[in-house]
Amino acid sequence: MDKRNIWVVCDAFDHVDSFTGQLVSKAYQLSKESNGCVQVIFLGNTSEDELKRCALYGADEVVYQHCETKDERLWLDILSDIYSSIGADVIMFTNSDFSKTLSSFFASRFEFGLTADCIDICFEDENGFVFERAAMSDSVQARIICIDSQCCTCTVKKNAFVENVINEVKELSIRKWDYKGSFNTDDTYEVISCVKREIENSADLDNAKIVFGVGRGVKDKETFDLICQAGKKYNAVVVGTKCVVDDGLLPKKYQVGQSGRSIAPDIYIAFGISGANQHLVGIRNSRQIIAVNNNENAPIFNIADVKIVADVKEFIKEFSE
Amino acid sequence: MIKIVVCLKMVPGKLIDAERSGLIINPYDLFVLEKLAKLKKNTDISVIGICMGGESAREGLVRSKALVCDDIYWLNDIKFAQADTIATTKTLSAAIKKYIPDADAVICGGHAIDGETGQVPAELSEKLRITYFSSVTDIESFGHDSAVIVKKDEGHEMTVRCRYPFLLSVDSFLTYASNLNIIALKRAQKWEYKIISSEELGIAQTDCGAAGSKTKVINSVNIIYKKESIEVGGSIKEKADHVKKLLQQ
Repeated sequence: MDKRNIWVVCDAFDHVDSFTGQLVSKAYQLSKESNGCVQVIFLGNTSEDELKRCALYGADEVVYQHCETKDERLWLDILSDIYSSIGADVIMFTNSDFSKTLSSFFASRFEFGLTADCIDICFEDENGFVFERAAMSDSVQARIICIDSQCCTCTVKKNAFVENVINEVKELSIRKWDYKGSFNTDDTYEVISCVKREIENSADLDNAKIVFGVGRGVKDKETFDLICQAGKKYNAVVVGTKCVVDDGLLPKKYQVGQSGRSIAPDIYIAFGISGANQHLVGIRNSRQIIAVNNNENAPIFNIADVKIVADVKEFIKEFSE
Repeated sequence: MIKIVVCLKMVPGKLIDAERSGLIINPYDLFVLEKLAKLKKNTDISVIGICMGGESAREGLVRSKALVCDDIYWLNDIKFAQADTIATTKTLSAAIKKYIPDADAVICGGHAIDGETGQVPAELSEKLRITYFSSVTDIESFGHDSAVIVKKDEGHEMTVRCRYPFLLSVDSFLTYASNLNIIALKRAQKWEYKIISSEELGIAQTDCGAAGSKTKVINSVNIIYKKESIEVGGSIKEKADHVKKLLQQ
C-alpha cells in the first residue's frame, strides 16, 4: 500500500519555529501509527540548513517554495499547486490568524473537512484520522472524522503537542518547488494609516518553566497578591482559569484552557482550582502538576502528581515566606 | 446605494447569561448590526440580513430587522440542519449568489460563540471569490467605490481603504442588548419574513446540512487521563516546605 502523506504547513516564513516543531512531532507519531510519510510544506525564504532542522522532529521530506511575501491568497495558490501534484491525506496547520485563514481558504476551495483548534489527533484502523476538540458543552472532547473528503485538514492549538527530538537519524529530502503561477498579490486595498499596537507578549508564558494557576478557590485579593509575590520569587508566570479571567482578576492572555491557551511547563501549581475539563485540557502537557485545594475530592487531584489538601490562603501564607 | 449583506447566526442565550433561554443574536454579529445602524443614519446603505436557522431564530431576526435590516433572507429548512463549516459556506454562498449577486460588501461576525471555529468567513470569501479582511475591529465609513475599516494585524492597527466587493470578518463584540425603538420592533414583528427552503434555493440535498458536511462528530470522550498522585501530609508548614523543595530542584 502507498504511504499516507501527512503534511505540516509551516507559516513562520524564515525559520522552522517551535510551533511547527510541535506539529511535526505529532505528524511523526501519526506516521508510525498509519504508515505515513511526514512532509513539511515550507513557503517563504530560508536556508537549506534551517529546513534540515525538520528532520530532528521526524520529517521525511520538505517541500520548499521560495517566495517573498506572506499573503494568504498567494499561499493558497501555491499550496493548491503542490497539493494537486503530490496529494496529501492529512494537512496540519497552526492556528495562527494567518494559518486559520489559509486553511479555511484551502478547505473551502477543495471542499475538504476542516477541524478547528484541535488538541489531539490519532489514527485508528476503523475510523482513520480522528481529530479532537472541545465539544460545545466544554466538559468533554468531541471526536471528529472527515467523511466524503479526500483529504482531512485541521488547525492545531499551540502547545497541544510537545516538541520532541526523535532519536533516529532520518534521511531528509528537500524538494524545491517551482511554482509557475503569478506571485502578484491583491491590490484591492490601500493602507491609510498604521499604528503600532502593544503586542500581547506570550513568549513569557510559552517558555515559562514554572507556572502558577489561580482558580475560584482563591477568594480574596490578599491571597492572589501572595501568589503573585511567590510567583516573582520562583520566576513563575501566574495564569488563571476561565472564571478568574471573567471576574477580571487576570487579563485574557493569561487564561489557560480550551477557550484560552495551552501550556506545557515543567511544574504547574494549581491554587484553588477545582479542575473543570475546560481548564484541564490546557495544562495536561505539564511535566508535573501540583494541586492545592481544600476539597479532597476536587477533580484536579485526578490529574495531579502531587496532592495537597489545604486551605489555599493558609498554604500560600506559609509558602510565600 | 451600497448593498451590504450581514451573515447572522443565532446562538443559545445561556452562553451569555445562564438564566437566558432560547436563542439570541451572536454577539459578534450584533456588533456588526449596531455599527451599521449608526452608519446608516448618515450614509445611503441598504442592509440585508441572511440567516440559516429554524423557527427559534425568529426573535433574533425580528430584532435584526428592527435594528437595521432592510431585508432578511431566512434559510429555514430541516435539510440545512447540522451543517459543518463547508456545508454552511456552500448554503450561504448559494443564497448570496442567487438573491444578492450585486452585494458590495459581505460582513460576518468573527466567530459564533457556540461553535467557536471562526472559519466560515474565510471559507465564504473563497467561495464567493471576493477579497477577505480578517480581524476587523471597526468600520468607519462606506464610500462610493470603497469602504474604510480598521483591522489589527500582528502588532499593528491599520486603517484600510478596501475596494468593493469584499468580505469582512469582524472581531469585536457586544454582550448587551441595545435599546430598540418599540415602534420599529412592532413593525418588525409584523413584517413578513421570506422563508427559503433548500428547494427554493436550488441547492442539492447532498450539498447542505449534515449530508453536505465533510466532518462528523463520531463521539465525545474525556481525554483527561487519571494519574496516581502522591499526597503530601503533615502540618501546613511541612506541606509548603515540600513544594518549595520541589521548586528548587
